Amino acid sequence: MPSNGTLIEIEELTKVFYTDEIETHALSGIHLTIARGEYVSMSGPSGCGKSTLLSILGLLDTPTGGRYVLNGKPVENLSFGERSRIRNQEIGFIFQSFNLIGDLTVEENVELPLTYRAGMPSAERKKRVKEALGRVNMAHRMKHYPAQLSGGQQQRVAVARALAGSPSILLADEPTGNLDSKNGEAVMRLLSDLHREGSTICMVTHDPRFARHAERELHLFDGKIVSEQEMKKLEEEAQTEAEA
Amino acid sequence: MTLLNDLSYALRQLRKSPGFALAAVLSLAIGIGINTAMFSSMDAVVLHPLAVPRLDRVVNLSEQSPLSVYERVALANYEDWTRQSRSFASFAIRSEAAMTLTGSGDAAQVAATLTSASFFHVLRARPLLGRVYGEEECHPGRNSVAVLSYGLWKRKFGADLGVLGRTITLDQHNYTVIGVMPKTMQYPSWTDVYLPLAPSPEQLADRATHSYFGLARLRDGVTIHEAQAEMRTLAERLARAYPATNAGRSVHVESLLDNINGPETPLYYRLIFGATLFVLLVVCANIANLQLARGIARRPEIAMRTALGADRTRILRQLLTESILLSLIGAAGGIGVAKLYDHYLMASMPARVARYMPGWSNTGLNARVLAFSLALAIVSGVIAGVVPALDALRVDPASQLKAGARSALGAGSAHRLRSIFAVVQIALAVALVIGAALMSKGMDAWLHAADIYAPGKMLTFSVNLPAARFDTPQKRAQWYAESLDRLRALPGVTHAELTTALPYNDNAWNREIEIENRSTAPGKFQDALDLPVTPGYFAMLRIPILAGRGFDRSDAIGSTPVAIVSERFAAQYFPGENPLGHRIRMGGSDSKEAWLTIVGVAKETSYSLWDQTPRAAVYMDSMQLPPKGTEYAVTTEGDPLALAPAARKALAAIDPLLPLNTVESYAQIQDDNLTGLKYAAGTLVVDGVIALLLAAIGIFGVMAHLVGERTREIGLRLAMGASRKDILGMILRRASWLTGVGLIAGLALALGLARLTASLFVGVRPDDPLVFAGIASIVTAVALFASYLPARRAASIDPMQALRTE
Repeated sequence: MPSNGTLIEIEELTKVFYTDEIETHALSGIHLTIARGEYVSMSGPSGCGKSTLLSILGLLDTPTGGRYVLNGKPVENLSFGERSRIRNQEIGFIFQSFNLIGDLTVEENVELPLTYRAGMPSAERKKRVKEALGRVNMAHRMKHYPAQLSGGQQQRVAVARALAGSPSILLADEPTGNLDSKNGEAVMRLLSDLHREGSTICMVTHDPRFARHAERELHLFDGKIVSEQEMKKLEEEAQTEAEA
Repeated sequence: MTLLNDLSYALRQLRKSPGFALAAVLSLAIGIGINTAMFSSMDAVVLHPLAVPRLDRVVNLSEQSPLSVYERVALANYEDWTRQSRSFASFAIRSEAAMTLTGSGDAAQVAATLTSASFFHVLRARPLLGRVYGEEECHPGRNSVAVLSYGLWKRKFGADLGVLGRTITLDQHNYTVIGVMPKTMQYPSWTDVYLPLAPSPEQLADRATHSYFGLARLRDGVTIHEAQAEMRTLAERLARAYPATNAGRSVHVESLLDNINGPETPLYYRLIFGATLFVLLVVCANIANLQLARGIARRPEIAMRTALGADRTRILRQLLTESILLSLIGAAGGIGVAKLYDHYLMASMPARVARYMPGWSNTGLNARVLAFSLALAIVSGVIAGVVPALDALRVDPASQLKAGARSALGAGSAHRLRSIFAVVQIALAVALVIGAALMSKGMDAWLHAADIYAPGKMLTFSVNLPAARFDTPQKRAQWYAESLDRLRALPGVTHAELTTALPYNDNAWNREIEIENRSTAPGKFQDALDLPVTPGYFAMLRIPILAGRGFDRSDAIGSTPVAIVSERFAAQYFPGENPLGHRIRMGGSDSKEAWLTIVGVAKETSYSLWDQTPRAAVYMDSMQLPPKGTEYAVTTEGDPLALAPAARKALAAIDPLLPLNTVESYAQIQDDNLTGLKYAAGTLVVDGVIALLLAAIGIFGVMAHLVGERTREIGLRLAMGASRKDILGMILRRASWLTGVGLIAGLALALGLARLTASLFVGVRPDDPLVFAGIASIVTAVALFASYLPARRAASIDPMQALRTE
């Protein structure tokens, strides 16, 4: 059993993709523990498995093998419906390209995950939306549509949407990938602020500057978690091999 | 770039999207095809039923009395018209006779039209073979020549080119065949043979016998209204000169085309033609929808063309060329569909009904029909192409050509337009299906109106008794009595009776009546249905005699003539009085017919399908007052048509020269009477089903496109915790909304149209709530089923895959 401070506990996690008799081991024996309130970044070269790991962490995908305990509950073999419910209550997503719905206002976008939560009264939803938008300083744009906002503002709305459901963890997939450096920095500061306020964050990024905002940096290489030194060594070997 | 370049590029574009092109061409082929078929039928029956030059200048002349505007003409009046009128270039007169043709295979009844020689001149009709008769042959003793109709020539003489000069025997008189009329000159449509009308001097001076139909060609520059005014003045003059016969009578002038068509045929054609145009609109909406979807994929191409300097008109022309090209290819396929449809319509129309439909046999794809099809294709191409083309022009080339990811997920104007088209399709389909259902329900009610009389167990036929041989009531009565006895003796026969009309078969004639010792106010007329029947008629149809007695053997020739009247007759003419014992007479005040003593009152029976309001009726005993023409009604325990050979044999044993005519079951008569309605209802049902299918495809397309366009959004919603049920519900809610809007618009449209055309929806209320509710449920079910497939696909989207476009 995890201690009270442990939010995520992963043991011997594997993910294999099968395409035309070819097995691709996207993740091989991952062990990972994330404590409540921790801010973790994951980085690595393209195809190293970081997005796959994030999808499994967010219950958007299921592992081929291993154990995944979220908030004290094994979640690796749940049905689609159960995963939907847990995702809705425990996880907040922040995407690289924001994924706001153009036909909905800022307020409606932020309210969206709450509408899938059975039994939550409308007044409660509105209150939470207001609070979440207040936390990202976007309350004054509630009635705007995404197209009327800048990229940085859109990502702040996306963060508010992730926060609105008071999730146990925020999963951010390259949250600054579609932003210029100024707006990217602003979003990173926002995530740091949220972390300071107690949020647990797991962020995928390939930008070392942003990775350093996290308390703990994880490095993935060929589907495994490696240390920073090991990572450098493996990258150099790969470089030499490519040049040969 | 020339139009040729546009066409060549359009062809390449269609080759690039074979699926789209095939779907569009097939829908257009169906839409344009059924419209072409409908137009070809309408052209043949309503617009050009006769190949008569300047048909619009030919008019029908009838006498007008307070009872009817279509009274037949008296010869002496006709003679005065021809002498005194200045409105017409030429006049003709005709009458009809059923005659027995012998000496050319089995004896058969033929429909003869006796005409003045000018008949062919008025119609500018030229024979296919030989010649037509002249003035000199329209005199008694010189009139033994005949012109065959195309149908009789083919049917009885095997289209023999050597038929001219042959002798045919009609009612035991010999006639020499001098000509054959072409297929396109068949007036009246049921005519088998044209004979010279050779009136005697007495007939030419007769103003009391109304047996003829007048025909005339207007003088150049004279309108029908002017001719009508002149003829009215002329009739007034004749009424003053001959008050005994002409008082209260006028002349009705009507275009021959209107007279042939009657009031209902053009209306039904307009209704079903309107319905098939609706189907084409649904097709256009479908094509527009497909083109809108395709337009989204072609935005970069349009943007590139704009960037390269193409102006909006140029792009619009290119896109419309593609749309019109599609329609033209569809129209080519539509010609094939029309040919098949026409073939089906012709084959499904019973010959015994088709002969009463002028022009029906000329239905086909002539130059007018092909020109119509071409025009329809161009108009459809523009209708289906203009909105997608205008939408494509809204593309902003700068943003379209700029590479970059979308940050927000949303729908554009194309999607809104596609939704509008789907709503339009549903609305049109609802209106059409409701129209079809109303007409089918009404028709079904009428088709079964006579069921209480077991029409499936009754055989009917007529026997034409030649006037020369059966010239006295005694001879006719003897034939009737003997023939009925023979028929009753056949195995399986339960009743054999005579009657001129059967309930609901619209064969009963209305006549003026006179009630003894009761004068009528000037201008007021008393009338009743004239129904000669044999005594067993009431028992055969289980029509109770409510008061007095039925006919019996004592009612014979020479005994006091008697009548049985209907309940309505008694209520209308003897309110609060007992009608029994009173005397009535058929015909007006100048009638020479016998006074009839009322001996019974029969339960009300409707003789008209189209107007089922109770009508006063007078039954006379056919054995006491034998009519010159009547029908046999023979009921049997088995199949009535199987009885026909035995009946034929039984009557041939009395007189082999008298053939049985119009041998049909009562059920067939009822069925034939509703042919026009069945045709209209059948076409509406076909139109409705096609429109509903297209609407279902339309909403399927819109929802499938919506799901495709919103895949990432749906993935996102799933990532946010939406369940599969939430997504299914979201898509179905959207589909329900579109369906609901379409349904409301369609119901309103259907109600408006049904009320406008209420007179055509017989036997059913135009706002029948059952029909409206039933069709609304069916359309909703079909639309939701069509939406369920894309909704299910949406619900099975893998959120990870959907969001992996990052």
